[in-house]
Amino acid sequence: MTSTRPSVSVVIPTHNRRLSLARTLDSIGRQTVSPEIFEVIVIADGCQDGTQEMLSQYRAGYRLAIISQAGLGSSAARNAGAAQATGELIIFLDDDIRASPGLIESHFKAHQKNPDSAVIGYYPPRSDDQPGLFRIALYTWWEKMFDQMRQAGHRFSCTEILSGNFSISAETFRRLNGFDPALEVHEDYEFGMRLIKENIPIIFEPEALGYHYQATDIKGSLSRKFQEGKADVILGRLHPELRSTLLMCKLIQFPGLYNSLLLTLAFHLAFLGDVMAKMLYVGLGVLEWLRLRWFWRRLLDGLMAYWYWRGVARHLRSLDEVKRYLEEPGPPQTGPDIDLDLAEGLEAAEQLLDRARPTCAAIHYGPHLVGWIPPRPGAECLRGVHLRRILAVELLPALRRALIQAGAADVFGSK
Amino acid sequence: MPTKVLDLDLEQLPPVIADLVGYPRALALLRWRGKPVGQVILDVHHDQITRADVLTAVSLLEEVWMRVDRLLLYEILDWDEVDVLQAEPPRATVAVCTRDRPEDLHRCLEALIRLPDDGQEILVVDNNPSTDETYQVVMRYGEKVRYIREDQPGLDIARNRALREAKYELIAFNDDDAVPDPGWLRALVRNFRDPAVMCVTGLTMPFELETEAQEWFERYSPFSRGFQRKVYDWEVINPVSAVRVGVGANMAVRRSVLDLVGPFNEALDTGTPTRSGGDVEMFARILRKGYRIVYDPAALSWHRHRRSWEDLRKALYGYGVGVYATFTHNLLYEWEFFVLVQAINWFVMDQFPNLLRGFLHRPDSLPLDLVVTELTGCLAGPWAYVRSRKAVRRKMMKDDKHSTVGQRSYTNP
Repeated sequence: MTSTRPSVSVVIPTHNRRLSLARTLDSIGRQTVSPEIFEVIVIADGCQDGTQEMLSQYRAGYRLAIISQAGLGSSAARNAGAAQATGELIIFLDDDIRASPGLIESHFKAHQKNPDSAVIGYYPPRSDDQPGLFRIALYTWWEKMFDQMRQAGHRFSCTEILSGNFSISAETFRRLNGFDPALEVHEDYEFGMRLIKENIPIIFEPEALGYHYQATDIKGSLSRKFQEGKADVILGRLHPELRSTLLMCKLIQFPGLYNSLLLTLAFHLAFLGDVMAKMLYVGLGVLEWLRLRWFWRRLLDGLMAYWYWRGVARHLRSLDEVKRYLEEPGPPQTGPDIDLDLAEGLEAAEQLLDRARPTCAAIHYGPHLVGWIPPRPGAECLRGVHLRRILAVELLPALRRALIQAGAADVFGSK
Repeated sequence: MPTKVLDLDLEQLPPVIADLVGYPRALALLRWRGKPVGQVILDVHHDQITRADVLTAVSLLEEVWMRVDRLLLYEILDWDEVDVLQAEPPRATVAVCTRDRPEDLHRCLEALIRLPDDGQEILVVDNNPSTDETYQVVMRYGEKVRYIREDQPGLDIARNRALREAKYELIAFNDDDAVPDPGWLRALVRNFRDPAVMCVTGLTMPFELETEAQEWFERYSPFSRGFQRKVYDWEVINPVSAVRVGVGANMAVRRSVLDLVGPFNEALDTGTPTRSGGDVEMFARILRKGYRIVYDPAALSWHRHRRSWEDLRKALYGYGVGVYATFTHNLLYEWEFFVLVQAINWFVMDQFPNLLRGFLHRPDSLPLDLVVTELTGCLAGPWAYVRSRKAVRRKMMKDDKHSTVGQRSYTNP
């Protein structure tokens, strides 16, 4: 043990996952960086499974501090860990992640390269036991998420700020007052929203790799949906501009008898709805046994939506209240909107975006309108690197039309 | 009547394609700046095709021009939907599984050693050879090509051997009777930047259409899966419909399939009673496990279909056996009941109408003997699979008895 101050503090909140936590701690013992440069702070939050005993006997080859608290939730746990952190950089790591040897080094280097940014590490799901469709669905969900982030020019949104393998300078974290303890889930989205409002660059670092041994099953995931329903209402109250991006906003627009039945059950006949949901949960098993994946997926989505609405209903008593909540006007979008002229060259347009950092932009090619990048609540302000991707993925037909117009104007001399 | 196979770049069309004596028509692969964008059938007049003929035929193909526009715009934007992933793809081993086809193999290797050098390895797995001709062909290339002899007959056995012998993480399989395009390997490999991609398949065009047998094969069961890049996973496609994602003649997989998905099913494919289906069964398993398969037409290879009518019949019979053997596997061992729907669907929508049209001698109908051959193969499929699986198990038990470490174990060595 040395008395020098470490550069990195790894903060691990944990709740009743003794074995999993031990695996995480073991993996931190095998890092490429010297143990002198980092410390580990574990926050045992309401643990009753012998986690404390395991920790007190754990022989770590690195500095390990332990904080115990009485079930205050993961946000409070992360804040408590960060409060005690002495490093300049904080890495938040979940207790079910096995860090690759390069994890700490990759986070550290990413920050050296991009000072004052927030870095999201890659943590693909791995499973050692549970087979089955749900596991596969989970894997697909995570990999799709990371696949988006891995693409050059990806415009990050606050729903992509995942706190499981995430690093930020201690100074910035404290300046932003940490995670909001009022939220049991989606506290990372909420924190992400504040990061984005502060214009802090967000970076995905695939090298900062950890394997995610997520123990969730369908039941756990359904009850999480309930929590998410509750959390979303609070999230929308804290940041009204996010209301249009919440899952409820998407779900409520689904037409049809099936959806209105689902809503009626969730808001007015919850007793009946809960019984039905439990029966359909059994049906899920039958569909999986029959390998009817498509129907299984639809039923799971339906059940997820049901429990989500039940969570929403905890705060908003009726459907009318939900509608009023969603229709309440948020604050007007801040930030300038600008005009880009592609005829002056792509580089020039990119530089202009980097200077102005607008939330939306109109794109022209000379006098011809190409299209409009609409404001996207919860998303980063536009940067130069976003432009090519937006043009290629979202505005390709419009760009084609504008270029043809411009070309035609040249050729036929009507300019 | 033979069909000339042409390879045309829309930007560099020659004024006249001459000397097409004896060819009433041609099948042209259309490229734009090297990238495949479509294909077209052209009529030959006075033993030649003019630039105007090509453009007239192509001008109606809206899809082709849409693709050209897209590529052009991507070029202006300096954008690419694959290279956009910020990661280095792993390195590759090219594997050719072959048996007693020295001439085909020679042509294949000639193309392989001319691929741009990204440090890849070339491996030939000689499967249960009856002569040493294959060995002689490979020896001509010295250090450049590695030779491995696998005495147990079976294409999937050879494929598994290649997976275990390969030096690198990716293994790109090219059939011995196929000739890859210079850009083939790079186009396959770059798709592996996405770690969830476990397999990539490419576009396979006919190398020649000189005989009626080859023409019918290309018409009835072409290897091409179109000119649009596609990313498949279990949410997009039912794993039992995996035949749509590509063909084993032109595919690359990660070596980690051995651990994550399992090896190729050694009861299937050429050299066993089931005759084909090993590739499709692997695709299905990859999808079922949640991984992605990419079909990328930029990975182009030219396959020489069997020339004689007898070989065509054999191929279609084998195809019928293989499909039904795979169905049997999926039904009995994976409990994929949807297979039954598929079998019925195939019969009602495709096989029965073909049978009827052939029977009534409708113009352009598939020759009746081919339809019947394929159907016979289908009927033989389930039993062939059961038989083949039993043989594999017997062999495994024998191996276990004779050696403590099995020569071919079902797990990663």
